[in-house]
Amino acid sequence: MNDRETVEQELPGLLVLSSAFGDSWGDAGLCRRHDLMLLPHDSCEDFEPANETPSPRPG
Amino acid sequence: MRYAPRLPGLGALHTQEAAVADKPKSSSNLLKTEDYWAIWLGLLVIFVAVGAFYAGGTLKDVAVTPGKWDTFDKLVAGFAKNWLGYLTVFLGFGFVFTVSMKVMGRNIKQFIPGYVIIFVSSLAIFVLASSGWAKKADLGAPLLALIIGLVFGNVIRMPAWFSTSLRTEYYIKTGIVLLGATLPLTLIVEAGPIAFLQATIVSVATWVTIYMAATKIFGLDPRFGAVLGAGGAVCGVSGSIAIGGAVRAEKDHIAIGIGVVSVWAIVMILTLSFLCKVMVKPLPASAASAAPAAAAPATAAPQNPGQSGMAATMAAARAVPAAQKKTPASQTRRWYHISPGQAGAWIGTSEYADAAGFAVVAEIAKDHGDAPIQTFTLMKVIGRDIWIGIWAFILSIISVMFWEKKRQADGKGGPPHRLHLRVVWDRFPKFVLGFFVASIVMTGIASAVPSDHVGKAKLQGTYKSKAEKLKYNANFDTYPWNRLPAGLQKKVRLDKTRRLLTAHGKISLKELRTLQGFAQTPDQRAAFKKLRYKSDWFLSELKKKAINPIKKLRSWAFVFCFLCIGLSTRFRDLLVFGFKPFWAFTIGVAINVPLGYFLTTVAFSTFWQAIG
Repeated sequence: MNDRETVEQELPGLLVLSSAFGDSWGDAGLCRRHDLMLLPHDSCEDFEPANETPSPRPG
Repeated sequence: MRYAPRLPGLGALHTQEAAVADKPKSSSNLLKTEDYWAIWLGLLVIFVAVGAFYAGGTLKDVAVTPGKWDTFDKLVAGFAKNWLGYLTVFLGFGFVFTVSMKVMGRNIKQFIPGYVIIFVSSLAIFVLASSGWAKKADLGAPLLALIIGLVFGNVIRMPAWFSTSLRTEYYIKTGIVLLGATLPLTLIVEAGPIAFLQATIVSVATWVTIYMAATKIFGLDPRFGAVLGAGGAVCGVSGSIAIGGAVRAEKDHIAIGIGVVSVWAIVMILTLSFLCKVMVKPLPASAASAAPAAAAPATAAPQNPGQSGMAATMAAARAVPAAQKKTPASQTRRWYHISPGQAGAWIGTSEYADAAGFAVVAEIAKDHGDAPIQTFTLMKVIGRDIWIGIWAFILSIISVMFWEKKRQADGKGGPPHRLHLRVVWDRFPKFVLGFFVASIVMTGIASAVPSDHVGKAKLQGTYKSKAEKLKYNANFDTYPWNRLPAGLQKKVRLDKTRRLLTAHGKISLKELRTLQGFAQTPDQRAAFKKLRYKSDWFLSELKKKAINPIKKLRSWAFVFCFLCIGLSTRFRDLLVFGFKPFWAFTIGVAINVPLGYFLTTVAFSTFWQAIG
């Protein structure tokens, strides 16, 4: 998930001294499955593109 | 370095990623981030200011901030005089901010009312800061904006839609690009290496301290230690998130890192502002003559209008007011006194965010001129910010080679982390390019002094500087012109018919002393000071009509930023961090602040003192 507006809501306090619309964030995203911050070229075996129906989340 | 995918199922991902990678880099990338928009807006302002100047006009009548007032009548008179300027600033900034928000995909129906509130509040803050009360309390617009924002932001729950207009980074980056127009390129080139050296020493020491405290003392995850360390060493919240992605930090690491850095940044704004009010003292006149090498030759060499540089003229301009400051040159300096330039450099190593640091140095600049802003920018932006991509790349290598291997061995790791040198550019703060372009453009313009510039000073008038205001009515009937050196007699002339002094070429400090040495009255001496000012094309024309308006607009951008910091800082939301990350960061602060102070005031003291 790398929608910048959503990222700003997910990370409270980000707006105080930074922004998800700046180059320091770039096109990074938050992996909702593993709660990781990932660079745009990074991925893992559980990755699913956003326009596909997500499979049930574990646990 | 690229690792080939080894886990099943990644083939499709790489097809998708390849499709993304093959998509041509469109020009829309230049409109996608606040960094680029700060460049476009900043350069647009500079273009308009310089264009107006060369067209014979000036922005100084519309790029305004409220003036001093101590009675209601003066306040009303000020508004009557400047209302068109306030409206112009409101509409100009508002238009570009709105367009940029729309292009970046933000909700402008939320942005516009929020911007109106921020502008009107900023205007009110400027008015309050210009009042007699605020002057007595020594409170400038930057600190007032922060304090008022903090009070309102923590007492009143801001509606969610308002956050769309709380663009702290966008406003400060615009301000920094505008700042580039007031920072000579020669100063950047000369001071940049020193700033980089000092900043690197402090940054590496701070990062290692925080990382070691986080991992060895408090047993935190190395990725968490890296994120905290980047927050303290490189660039605050932006550093944390840039490194967070590079090392695959957990979302909690980022969230807590943001909280710790933000709280400490706010604490340091208030602490450093207070300390600097006590510690910062201008230099005595004799020490001010030790100007930086980039500036000194131009003041010592024979005057050639075509060769006057911005840096040389700024150094000469600083030298004269320093000698004339109300504070006597013989004032006893205490051991803890530091110069304005040293203060800016120290804050540049010891503040954790650009916006926070600018809040402090803008407050110091209110009393001491632009030197602290310049040295802070050199240290923070040139010395630290631009290297964020290098930090991200190096830490991603360390993450792959050590931390992920350990996580894989513990059964916690994911697929191999792929390294991209591209992260160095991706994370590079692009607004710094706008800063450099602004400096290059203005330095070029400042060096192109018109060869036919003639300085003119009326025999009756007022000479104003930071240190004094002199009204004079000079009579030169008995002035011994023929006793002046031949060169000076040709350069400086009296036009009795038009009651003018004229100067063909810039008058140096030495020539001023010669002219004043034969003066018979204080009014004659004041008239020569005015003539010297008028003979300097950079000071009397370019700075007055183009650069000062840019500085006014920069002040607006800064106050927007500081107000937004206050309004968006909800301590209740930030104080989510636990004992361990907070104390790991605090141990880093305990190293960072004194080390920065030592390097600024001892190791590199002479250098920063000369700029201040």
